[in-house]
Amino acid sequence: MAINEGLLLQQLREPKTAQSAFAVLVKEYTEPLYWHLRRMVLDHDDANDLLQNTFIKAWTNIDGFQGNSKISTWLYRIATNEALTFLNRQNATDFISLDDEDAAPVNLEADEYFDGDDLQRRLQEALQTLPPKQRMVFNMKYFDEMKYEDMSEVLGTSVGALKASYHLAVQKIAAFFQDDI
Amino acid sequence: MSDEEKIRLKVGKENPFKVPEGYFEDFQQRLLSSLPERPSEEIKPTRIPVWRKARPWLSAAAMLVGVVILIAALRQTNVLNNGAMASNDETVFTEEEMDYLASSVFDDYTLYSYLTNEEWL
Repeated sequence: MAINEGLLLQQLREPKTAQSAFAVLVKEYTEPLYWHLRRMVLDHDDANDLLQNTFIKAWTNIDGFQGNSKISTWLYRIATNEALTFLNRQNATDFISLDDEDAAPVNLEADEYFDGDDLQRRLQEALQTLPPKQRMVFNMKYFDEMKYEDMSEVLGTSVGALKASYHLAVQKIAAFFQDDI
Repeated sequence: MSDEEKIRLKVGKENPFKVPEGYFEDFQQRLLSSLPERPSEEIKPTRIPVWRKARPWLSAAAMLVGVVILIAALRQTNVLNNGAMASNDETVFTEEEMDYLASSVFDDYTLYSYLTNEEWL
């Protein structure tokens, strides 16, 4: 559904139409934002919480949105910050020894909401070894097929830096699968 | 073949994650029914701070102080020495100075009341 962003923004700012306009926004962006978050945090409940936070922050701060970018870019930016903050907080409390080869950072095998095969599980485990922002770049390019220019607006990083980050991420993942590929 | 193509051929790009049945529909309903009140522009009653109420009196007092300082400074330079009731070493005002000071702050009635100490009679 093509959304008229200018009209939607106008309606979001008008008290009488704000709620119905926000419902349009929620309907349009719930799924893409959810997957953007889920691929980062892996756990469904965590992704659900972050998604809720994202929309509530958007709702309470719509007046602060200048309209300098697309609404979708703004939403992705909020979601991205939510995910990165969550992961930083998680890393600060959960320490996993990098020397322990048996330590699995993520136990997707036991996750009832993970439906992938062995290779897909190993890809997710490989992605967990990347720094959060680099992992996000990989997800947005590889899975979401986002243009670098759009990624640049969301992440606030130059196109060149994003291309370099993605290239490095791919190299690392390829090395992880060295025996298989 | 690039590394990316190798990964794509081996692992694919399918989404390996799933969500509970009806999750997205439920989520939208739950979210929209629990949206907090947006901060609205409240019309707050205008409260005049105490300092603003006292400003006229403060201005008058400041003027008086300013005049006193000015006269003292001028006396130091012997400008208003004519008709001084005491020597130059003392800070004493002439009758003209006293009249000026008194009239600049107090009205006649207030000054009269003060001078005759009616409150304490």
